[in-house]
Amino acid sequence: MAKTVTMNTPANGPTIQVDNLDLSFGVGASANQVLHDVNFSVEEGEAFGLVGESGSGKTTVLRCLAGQYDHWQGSLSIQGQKLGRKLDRARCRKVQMVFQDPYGSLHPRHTVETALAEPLAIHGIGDRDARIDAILTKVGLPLSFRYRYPHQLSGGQRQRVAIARALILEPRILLLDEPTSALDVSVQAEILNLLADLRVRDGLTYLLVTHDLGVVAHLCDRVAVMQQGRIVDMQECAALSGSMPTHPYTRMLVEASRHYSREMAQIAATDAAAASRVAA
Amino acid sequence: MSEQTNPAKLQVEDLNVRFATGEGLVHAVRGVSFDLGREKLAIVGESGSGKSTVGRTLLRLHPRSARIEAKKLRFGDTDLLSCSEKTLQDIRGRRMSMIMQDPKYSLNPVMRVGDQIAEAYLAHHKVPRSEANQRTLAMLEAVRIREPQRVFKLYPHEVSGGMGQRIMIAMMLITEPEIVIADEPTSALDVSVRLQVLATLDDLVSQRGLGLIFISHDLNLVRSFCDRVLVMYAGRVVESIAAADLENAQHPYTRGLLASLPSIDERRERLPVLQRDPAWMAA
Repeated sequence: MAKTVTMNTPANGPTIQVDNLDLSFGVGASANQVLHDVNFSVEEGEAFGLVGESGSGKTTVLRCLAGQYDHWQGSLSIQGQKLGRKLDRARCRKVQMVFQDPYGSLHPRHTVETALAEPLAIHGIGDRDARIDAILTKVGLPLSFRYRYPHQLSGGQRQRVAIARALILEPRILLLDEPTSALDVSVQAEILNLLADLRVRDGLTYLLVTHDLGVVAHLCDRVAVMQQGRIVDMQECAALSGSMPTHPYTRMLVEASRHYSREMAQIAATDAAAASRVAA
Repeated sequence: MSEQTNPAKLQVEDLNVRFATGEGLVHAVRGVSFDLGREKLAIVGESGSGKSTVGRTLLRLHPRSARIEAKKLRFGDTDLLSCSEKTLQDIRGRRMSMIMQDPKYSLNPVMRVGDQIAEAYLAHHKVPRSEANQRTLAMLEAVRIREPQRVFKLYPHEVSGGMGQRIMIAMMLITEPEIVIADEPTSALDVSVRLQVLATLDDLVSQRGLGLIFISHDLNLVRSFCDRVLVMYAGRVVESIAAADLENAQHPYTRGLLASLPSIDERRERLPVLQRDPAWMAA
């Protein structure tokens, strides 16, 4: 994969900066803190992965950045500007999100054209026909697809439409929430290639949430491992393969993505027992 | 378990399944043949390849619109094609059972999980309720659920995904079936939970000498978990291969699937995209 070397920090700092992010649901005694002091930054043009199991808080971080939650504590900035609680149009032009389930994220009674024209209408952008044609070409869909409904598309084609809808406002940052986990491996390969191409061509910055370390290793430069609302490990993706990661949880994830083994099952069971003792 | 004889428990020859739809017949399974003994047999393929349809056909779980034809569809001494619904009821859940993908949708939401497991046993055995409950507790322990007494009384919404899937496994194994069909049993689970559920399944299969049909799309998992793999494409078995030899698969479809998996150990510029050959449909 073509890597853009971005470790030399540009003048205006990292593209995404997350500092001391906390988030709780509920109040008083029933409050449930789901994010604990999350810190990371993503440079311009970098692809950064967040991995972890269900309930680890990885999608919640994405939702805070996307403006779907507004009661977080801490500080979030995009391209050097601190984010407010309220989602505004300027932020939507910079940050867009692609969701996990292409079946659930497209309106079943809107054509591809309607879905793609809506963000343009909201932001008062003209020249819509040409823009829709251009974006369909960009994500590798035939122009004739603009008159189709979601049920007339395959899973991979729907995810291409979802990516097109995110990209039509020409954002600089894409938040990707398990973009390929609902797809077959052969289709997943196509979408991963598309995402890799788009990043190189348009210099996009990706924040990718997934539970599949193979996907992270393929697409991302760095990865943070989350467990129970905390980042427990951060690695260069290139380092995942050779030497064994030192953090036991990362090691378990890496091993499990390679194959099934009895020893790993044993370790996972011991971990779970320990975790439940802590919780009890 | 004794290895001296490994007779095929299940014989399938030239199985064809067609569904009648508004637009004519859809030929979902085309000429599938395989035998199953005491082993872990994987059926892999993409969505729509017919792998789940094969699993359901073995238990005749299809709607009336399905037309099932086969030269042979035998389970032990029973011909599954011609036997009565009564005979099938004795087989389903008792001698051959099926673990579904998602416990959230497969468990009855308004019934305690222990009662659901006991019900599975009582459906096939005339025993007092107390004995069924005792067996249920033993079975919960066998699938490594701590505090079986407590879990017995929980409702499905009170258990986690991994525990729900273990409850499903307990329910399907309590009747001591000879064959278990598992349709993507771990794809809804997290990595660490998946490992534990697989280990449970692995132990029970080897302790009880079951035949396991493991339907999955996860080649990496199948490679290390199963003994043999059937690769399905567009309703056909295009390759049957020992799981350990999957690396040396011959069929371009199998090789394409393996190559398109992103891997931690081998970083590539681009993932090869599967080039589908129309000849695979005819082969």
